[in-house]
Formats: sequence, C-alpha cells, structure tokens
Amino acid sequence: MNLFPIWVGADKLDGTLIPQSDRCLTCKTNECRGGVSGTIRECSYGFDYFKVSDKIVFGLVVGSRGNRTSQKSKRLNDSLEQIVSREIVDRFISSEKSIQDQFRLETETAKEQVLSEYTKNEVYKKDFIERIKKDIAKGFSFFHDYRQINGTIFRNINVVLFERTGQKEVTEDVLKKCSKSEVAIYFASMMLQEKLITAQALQDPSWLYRSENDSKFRFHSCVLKYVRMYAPVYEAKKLDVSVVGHNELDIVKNPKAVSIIPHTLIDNAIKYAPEGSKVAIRVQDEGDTIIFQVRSLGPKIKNEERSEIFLPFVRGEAARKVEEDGAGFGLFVAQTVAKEHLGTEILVSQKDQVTSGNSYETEFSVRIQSAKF
Amino acid sequence: MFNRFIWPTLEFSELVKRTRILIIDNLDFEYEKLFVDDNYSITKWDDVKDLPKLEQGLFDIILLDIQGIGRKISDEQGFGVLKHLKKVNPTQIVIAYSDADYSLKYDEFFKLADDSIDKSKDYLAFKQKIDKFIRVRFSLDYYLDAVHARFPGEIKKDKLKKVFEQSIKKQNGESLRQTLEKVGAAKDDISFALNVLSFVITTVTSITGTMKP
Repeated sequence: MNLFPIWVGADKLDGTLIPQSDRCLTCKTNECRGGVSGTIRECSYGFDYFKVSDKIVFGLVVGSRGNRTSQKSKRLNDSLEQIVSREIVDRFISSEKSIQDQFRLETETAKEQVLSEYTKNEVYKKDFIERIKKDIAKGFSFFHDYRQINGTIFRNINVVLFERTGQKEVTEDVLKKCSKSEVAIYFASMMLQEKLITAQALQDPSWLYRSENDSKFRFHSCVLKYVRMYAPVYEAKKLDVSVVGHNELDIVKNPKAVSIIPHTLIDNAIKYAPEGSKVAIRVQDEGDTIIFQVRSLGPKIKNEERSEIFLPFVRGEAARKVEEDGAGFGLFVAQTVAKEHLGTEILVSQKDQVTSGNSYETEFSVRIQSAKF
Repeated sequence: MFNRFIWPTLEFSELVKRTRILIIDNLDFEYEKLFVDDNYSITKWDDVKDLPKLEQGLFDIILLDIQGIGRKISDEQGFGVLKHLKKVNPTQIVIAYSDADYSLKYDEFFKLADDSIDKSKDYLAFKQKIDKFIRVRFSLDYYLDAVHARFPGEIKKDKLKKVFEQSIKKQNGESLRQTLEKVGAAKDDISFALNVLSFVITTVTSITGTMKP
C-alpha cells in the first residue's frame, strides 16, 4: 500500500493518501522518472518527486520545502489536495528505508543460512556430480592411457627384477636382492595400478557387478597384498602395522572389485596415521561372515561427517587439513562396492576423546558374507 | 575294456614345447623373453600379419589385444578379428589381452574370448593363464563342450563323449555323423562336430605319433 503516487514499472499509481494530480495524469515528459535517492526534486510543472529505496514518488507538493519556483508557488495555491508536510514525507522516507533495510537483512540472512546448510552437508557435491557425471567420465578417459603407460612400467620393472635375480616370482627375498630404486619403482607402479582401478570404478562402475568376473578367493590374501605393497610407505612413516585374525572362509565375488575395500581402508589408515603410531588390521571369520577391521589414529570425523565421508569427493574437515591433496573418492568407491557388490556396508566409528595430538582412534569395519553362506 | 580309447597324456613340459602361442599386440610384449627362457613357443605379431594362418588354426593359443590391431580386417579392430576367428574356427583358444578390461563397451569382446588377462599383470599371472589353456588345449573336454553346446537337448554329453572317443580311436567320423543324424542335429552342427573331431584326431596323433598312413 502506498501513501503517495508512485511509479511501478511503466505505470503510475495513485497513492492512498494522495492521488495523482490531473496534470500528472496527462504529463508527457515524466521527468519524475529520473528521481534520485536522497533529494526531493521539482518538475517543470512544480510538483515534487523523489526516490526512496526502489520507489519513485511523484506528484506531491511538499509544504515546507524552500526555494520555491513560481510554478511551485502556483501549485501551492491550485493543488491543495497534493500538498503534504515535509515531516510526513521525511517519516515516509525513513520508514521506507527501514523496511528496505530490514528486507535486505532478512534476505541476506536467509540466503546465508541456506547456502551454509547446503555447503555444510556437502550434498551440493552430489547434486553437482550427478549433473556433470558425463563430463567426469570424459575427463577420466585418460585413465586408459595411464593404465597403458603404467602397465609398460610394471612389466618392464618385472623383467628387470627377473634379470637381476633370475627369479620369475617377485618375493620378499627377490626384492632384497634388488636396488632401492628398483624396489621403489616396482611398488610405486603396483600402487598406481591399484589407484587406477579405484578411479576407473568411479568412472564406470558397471564392471564391478558382472558375475562372470566372480571367482573364489581368500580375503586375507587381498589384505596381505596391500600390506606388503604399502610397506615402503608405512616403514618410512615408522608405523607399526599388524595383521591379526583367522580367515579360512572364501568369498565368491569379483576379486578386483572387492580388493578396492581393503586397499582403500589400508591406504586411508596409512595416509592419516601420525608418524610412529599403530595401524591394527584384523580379518576374522565369524560364523558365515568375514569381519574386516582397520583401526588407526586419524583426524577428527565430526558426527555429521560420518556418512558424508562416503560421498564422492567429500573429505572430513580435519582430514583436509592433514592431507590437502586427497581427491576424496576412495571411500565412496569402496562403499559402493560394499553396498552394490557385497550387499553390506562399511561402518566408521571413532572415540570421542583425542588419543594423541590431534588424532582420534578410528575404526573402519565391514562384514562380508562368505561363499559358505 | 581293451577297445576303450584312452586320451594320451604327456608331461606338461612336453605340452609346453608343443603349444604354439601367438601374441597380437601393436606394443611390445615384455615377457616374451621370459616365456622363451621357460621353453614356451612364442610368436609375436604387431598386427594380424597372416589371417589365413589364424583361420587354419596354426596357433594353439592366441593372446589378442582389442585396440590398435586388425584395422585392415575390421573397423572393430581386435574385436572384429576375434569374431571372425570364432566364426571360422570356434574352438580356437583366444585370450583377450588388454588394458581396457573394464568398460562395458568391451563386454562382448571379453565374453566371446575364452578368457582375459590384464596387461598390467606380472609374468607369473600370464604364465598361470597360459598354462591353464595349454592343459585345456590338450584335453578332450574342451572340444566336447564346444560340440555339445550345439545340441545340448538332443544328446547327452556322456553319450557324445563315447561316440567321440570311438571316432578318435577309429580316426573316422562316420559313427559321429550317424549318431548326430539320428538325433536330428542340423547339418551345419554336424559339419561343425566333424571339423572339431578332425582337429582333435590331429591333436591326438600329434601327441602319440600314431597317425595312420
């Protein structure tokens, strides 16, 4: 509701207190449309106009305004119904400004709240990824080249190791006979190969579920493979890595897909565990299931982050501080394999009290159905 | 008892020597020397150099890459070559050998091949895969399964095996033909079975060296 005549778009509307004057209704010049905030101006017909917030008020004769022109003086005499006191105009301007400020504040606050909520739970990443999934796939197409290049490195380092030792199977003893650089290339290539498998699962997860790729294997062997592969990394960090438990039950699933789980959880534990700390890995048969647990010290995972860390490209706030370069898709892919391929779920738990420095005792665990079931 | 055919057996090391393995890949095959050192008979082609040789089944096991080979034969490259080979010689053992073993678009390639191996595997994994198919190549069951798949409803596998064994012993496909005709097998399928039998007889005689004059 407007007290005074105002412009709304290209239309002029009457005010409830003061309607438009006959002159305003027939005015062709409409110079009042150029009204500016903070100044009351007078048109060539002697009417006052001004802008407040986003409103342009016109057609008034403000009573106590000084410097009257002859036109204005004329209006004071023949347009009595358009006359309004300066006090009322000032109050109107002040009220309009206050309403506008309040509206702006409320809008900004609401916007901030929505934005903060949206970015805090990182759901936007999921929404975002859904929309750009095709582009991601396109972007990941270079993985094929990486795999090809890494395959060449891997086969050649194998040949180098064989030529040096005369052994065709790479064992601990064989590696002891090789140079530090050769061993480093061998493990780096193996690790890159495994990372590329995880990345390709993100790009095209369809191969995870093909039953023709299923075969019988022992989960414990998978775990040992990664523990062995990561030895140079955890030895450099002086981590005490142990594997305990008893696993005789087999799994009949795609080993390449299932391996993503121990690989990711071991990789994460070794990545985030502080130097000199312990990483306890357990593989244990329980009834018809196999329990796999990785316990280590790691950055704080806030309660609200517990499920979000399994979303693509989402990393806990503290994790980002510890290891800035992580992409944040390992846990997402591992959880996808757990849910879609094994019908189970990776769980995460963490002690509330800090254990050492900024680290908290963290456990990732998963229960896998054995082939016996 | 006396007339029963017994599939000839050889030491595995002897089978290794006799198995002709072909690698078709436009890139190097780094493990070639290691296989040769272990007495495997390996041939490496950068592309499909001689299609008739493949069609005639001169190689026992083919490791075939899907990309970068066979462009002159098919737009589908390795997949086109594989389809052609499996059409002209369905019992040819082909192992899909590739970096591209994940994408669904290669699914048919891997399904049509007898098995697959990731190029990023170590020598031992390659050797295990090859050894598996050397045993397959010199076993009767592989060929029996291929033939039986043509008429699973018409004849039981045990019966087919018996007829097959008799035919190998006689080095003659007549009884196999008659048996299959009796069960109403299609001409094409009978022809296929006789071709497989002929290949199996050649295999047996190559093992035993007892080919009839």
